[in-house]
Amino acid sequence: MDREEFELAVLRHKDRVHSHAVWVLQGREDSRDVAQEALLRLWVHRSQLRPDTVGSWLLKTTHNLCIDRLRRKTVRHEVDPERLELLEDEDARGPERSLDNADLGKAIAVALATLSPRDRSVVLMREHHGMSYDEIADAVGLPLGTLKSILHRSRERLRRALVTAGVAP
Amino acid sequence: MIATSGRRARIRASARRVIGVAIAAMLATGVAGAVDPEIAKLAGYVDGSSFAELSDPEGSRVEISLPGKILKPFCGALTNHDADLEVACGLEWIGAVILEFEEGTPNVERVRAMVEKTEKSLEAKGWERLAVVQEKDEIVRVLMLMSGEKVQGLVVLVVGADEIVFANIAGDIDMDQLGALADKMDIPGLEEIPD
Amino acid sequence: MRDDVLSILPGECAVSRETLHDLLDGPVEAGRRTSLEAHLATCDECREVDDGLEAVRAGLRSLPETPFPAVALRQVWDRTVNAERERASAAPWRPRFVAAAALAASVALVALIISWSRGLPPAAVPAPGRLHAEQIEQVGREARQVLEVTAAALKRSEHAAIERVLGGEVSPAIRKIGIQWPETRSPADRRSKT
Repeated sequence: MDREEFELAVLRHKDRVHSHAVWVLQGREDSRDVAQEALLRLWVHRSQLRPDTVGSWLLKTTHNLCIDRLRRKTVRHEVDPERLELLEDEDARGPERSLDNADLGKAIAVALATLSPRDRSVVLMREHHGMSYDEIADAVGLPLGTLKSILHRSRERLRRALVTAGVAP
Repeated sequence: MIATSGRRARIRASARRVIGVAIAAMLATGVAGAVDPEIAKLAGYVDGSSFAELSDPEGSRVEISLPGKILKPFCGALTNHDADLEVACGLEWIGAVILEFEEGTPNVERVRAMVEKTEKSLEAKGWERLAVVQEKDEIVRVLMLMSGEKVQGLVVLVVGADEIVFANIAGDIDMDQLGALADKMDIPGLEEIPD
Repeated sequence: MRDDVLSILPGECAVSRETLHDLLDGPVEAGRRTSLEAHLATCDECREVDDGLEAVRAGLRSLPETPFPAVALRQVWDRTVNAERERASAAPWRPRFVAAAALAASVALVALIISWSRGLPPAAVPAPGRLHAEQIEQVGREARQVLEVTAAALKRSEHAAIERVLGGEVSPAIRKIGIQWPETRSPADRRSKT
């Protein structure tokens, strides 16, 4: 990857990388540093990378940087029960209600906090970033079978959180 | 006292370095050592350099000079860095002289006379005194310049037992934003008003 | 997947749930798909699970991204492409923060603003390393210091106005900036931060 390809890759992936860090770290303080570090590492390793593999490489790097950060400090990732109760107390939903996008977005963001950082990162890689199983397995260093279990379990937890929040049946 | 112990430490730390921003601002205007004539023309601008001359070698002196030429282009970056700085986006000038004295403010009476003279000369130019507040060993004066309904300039003068503060902001001042900033601060000495 | 919930479900539901998750991962054999469809036609709960999993997918896909801050992007350019350009050009003179001539400082500032607004790495101007981000922080600190002094003084003025009955010296000018007098404020209002 030459300099121009690097510049294009940064412009293309910077927001995705930053967002992944924000979601995994559940806050913004470290996420900017992590995203910046990932992009700087891309510069260092640019000669070994092709433009078509940069996206998954960056997410893998971001994932590892996030996990490192979390290992270094004690961070409590807890869902605020009052936030969930707030969602439940909203107007009663009929069985035929259509999903309100704003409610769904809010509920998913809260629900993500119920997952461990690793599981959060994995489910986002699959469902938001559209990475393949092989790419994710390589990114997080897990066998395919374990990865499948994690994804199924995480989706189920998120589904139940959405049901509790009243935005899923 | 305006300065809490934490702020006092920060003021000392910043006084140990030459204010690069002030120098760069002055260099950017092409006139080292003097304020930009465009700034000097601002109705809300007040020259606080005479206060800087009151410093003594035993104490610390911080001079801050931030013209709109620096504040406005970097407004987005500044508010990204610190959301409370949004009020700075409308300003043409932020300036201050902050003096601290290890052995107490020298010649307090002379300083108070100088402050009163500054106040009188500003009032003659249309500035209005908002308040004079005396608390313990400190007097805080606030002056305001209005243009129609808008506040174009604010000057704060503080003479305390071991500090002198001159602060001046000029431009389009959003008082609501300043009030919001004050609400976030833990200002010692402001008790709940009894019913 | 061996979920505790699945292990207590009726056999058909457990199988269907497994298939639902597998379908999210990719295609499944036709036989499994047919069985699933037949089961969903008769099982309300599994249909709800299907809808719920679709909602999870939709929610995750539509999570809004948080833009990477411009100042952080500046720092990335400064430490990568700009640093390389600088080394390559081996310019004999480089603007420094304090020692820059006024003209160079103005040119650099204008060029930065232009390239900043385009979200592109500044190409024409020799970058002064990481100084611009530090400059922002320094400007921010200095500005905040003065604004806090001013805001605190205004707050004191407001309290002095409220304590007027106790002898604080304030002027009618204080009315102009909307500070409420005690007689117009209820006790609850006085304590309110808004």
